[in-house]
Amino acid sequence: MHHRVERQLSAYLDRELTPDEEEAVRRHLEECAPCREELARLQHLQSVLAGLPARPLPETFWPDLRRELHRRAAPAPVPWFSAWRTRPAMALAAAAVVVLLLLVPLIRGQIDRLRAAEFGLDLFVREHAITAAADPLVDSAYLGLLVTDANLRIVGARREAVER
Amino acid sequence: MRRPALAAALAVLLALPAAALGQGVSAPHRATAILHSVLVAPALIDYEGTKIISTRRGDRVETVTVLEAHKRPNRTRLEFLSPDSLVGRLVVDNGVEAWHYEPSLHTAFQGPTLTRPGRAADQLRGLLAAYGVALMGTEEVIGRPTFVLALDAKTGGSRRLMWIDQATGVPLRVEERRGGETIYATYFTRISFSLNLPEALFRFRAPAGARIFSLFASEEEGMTLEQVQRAVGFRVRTPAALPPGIRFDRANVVRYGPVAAADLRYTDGAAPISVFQVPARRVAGQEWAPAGEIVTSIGVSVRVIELGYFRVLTWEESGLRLTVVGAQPRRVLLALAAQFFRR
Repeated sequence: MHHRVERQLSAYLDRELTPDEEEAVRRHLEECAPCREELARLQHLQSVLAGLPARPLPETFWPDLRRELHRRAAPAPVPWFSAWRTRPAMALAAAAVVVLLLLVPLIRGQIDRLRAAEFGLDLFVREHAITAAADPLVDSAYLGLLVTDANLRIVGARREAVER
Repeated sequence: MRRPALAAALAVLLALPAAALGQGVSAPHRATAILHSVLVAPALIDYEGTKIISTRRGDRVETVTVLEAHKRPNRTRLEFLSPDSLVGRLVVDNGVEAWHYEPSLHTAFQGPTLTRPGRAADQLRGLLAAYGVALMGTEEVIGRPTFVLALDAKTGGSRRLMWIDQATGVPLRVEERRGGETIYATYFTRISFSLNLPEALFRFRAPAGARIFSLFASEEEGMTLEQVQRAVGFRVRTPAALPPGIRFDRANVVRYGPVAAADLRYTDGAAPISVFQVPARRVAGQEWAPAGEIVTSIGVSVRVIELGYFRVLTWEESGLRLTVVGAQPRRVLLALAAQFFRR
């Protein structure tokens, strides 16, 4: 729970969690001093960023920028791959953006898997419930209920959270 | 019925309990014959019905309504109708794997089947070893005549009552009681038999865009202790002795991501007991910490968590987190746990 909440603190601060996840984080925070400290640190950072003064742009900023862009666009086109030689930093940055765009779904999927990969007691209960299916007299619908509730808890959700 | 051999087998097997109730058959034999009819029914009978499950959830009793369909020999479909938090939950078990779809999360979970085909004769032997079986009489349930069977655990503390449809062997009502308290009760409010349920009903198709979690945590079953130790990479603890009525069943590995746990399985003849062992640092179990109660009667602090049908005993020892899960009485599970301390 602790590691899961640690990862969720930023989203908690930005109110991006589901109500149930938010409640779970809130409950955890009541008991976990390190997480409270981490949250305080994030809140401080957020407030520092929010507190930075908004500085007005000079009136000439946009015309100057357009003029500069036109000037840079004027030279004869060079092959795209020559950017590696002429503007290595920009080319690397562009490559990094492309790689990031490609990786986002993978990273997101990895996060989902990570959330599911916490080795908690819920997993033990689920595995035991599956084993208990070998008991020929246990009610299959009841067992199905136990296993599916455990599935939810393993991915960090609870049945109450999905109540409509 | 298009299969005459199957029809004949069905007729004979379903006639067993009725015949067993006739004159000249002793009461224990009648009860055993009826229990046998329950064990063979899934392979012979299709049905579809509305079932009510009543069970403890936390500190309250919860009532769940589910549409249950069964197609022989081992396919099951469960559609949950109530309460609101369960509406739309779907379980499709084709006998090989089980799918669980949770509509509000738009997520499907793929996992092992919850049906375990076994030989009825073996299952009957196990049940008779674990339970005292008695025929309590006959009653009507939803307008159908039933036999009422009582199964009392020989380890003590729990009793199963089953109202078994005389014509089919399908339990129409089941109650599990422990210490006078009902742990769970299920009963059909309506049921239809001998339907030709379509195959498609037991095939799961994930809705478009649904996230899928594949949760096959248990590895190949029936490993030796040495194989399990090699797989998990730590010394697996074993009990010094086993409490009366409990025997070792099999060893297994539960793997989740990079973490592997040893799973030693014991049985009282009918219901399993699992003993999981994993390096303590790999368990994210803090959320359980406030749950349950601490018991020290066996010399070490064990947290005991009651989960309705199951109870969980968990403790840390020499860098390992040991967790016992079972439906047996607390004293039976504690007696088994105590044996793990003595090494």
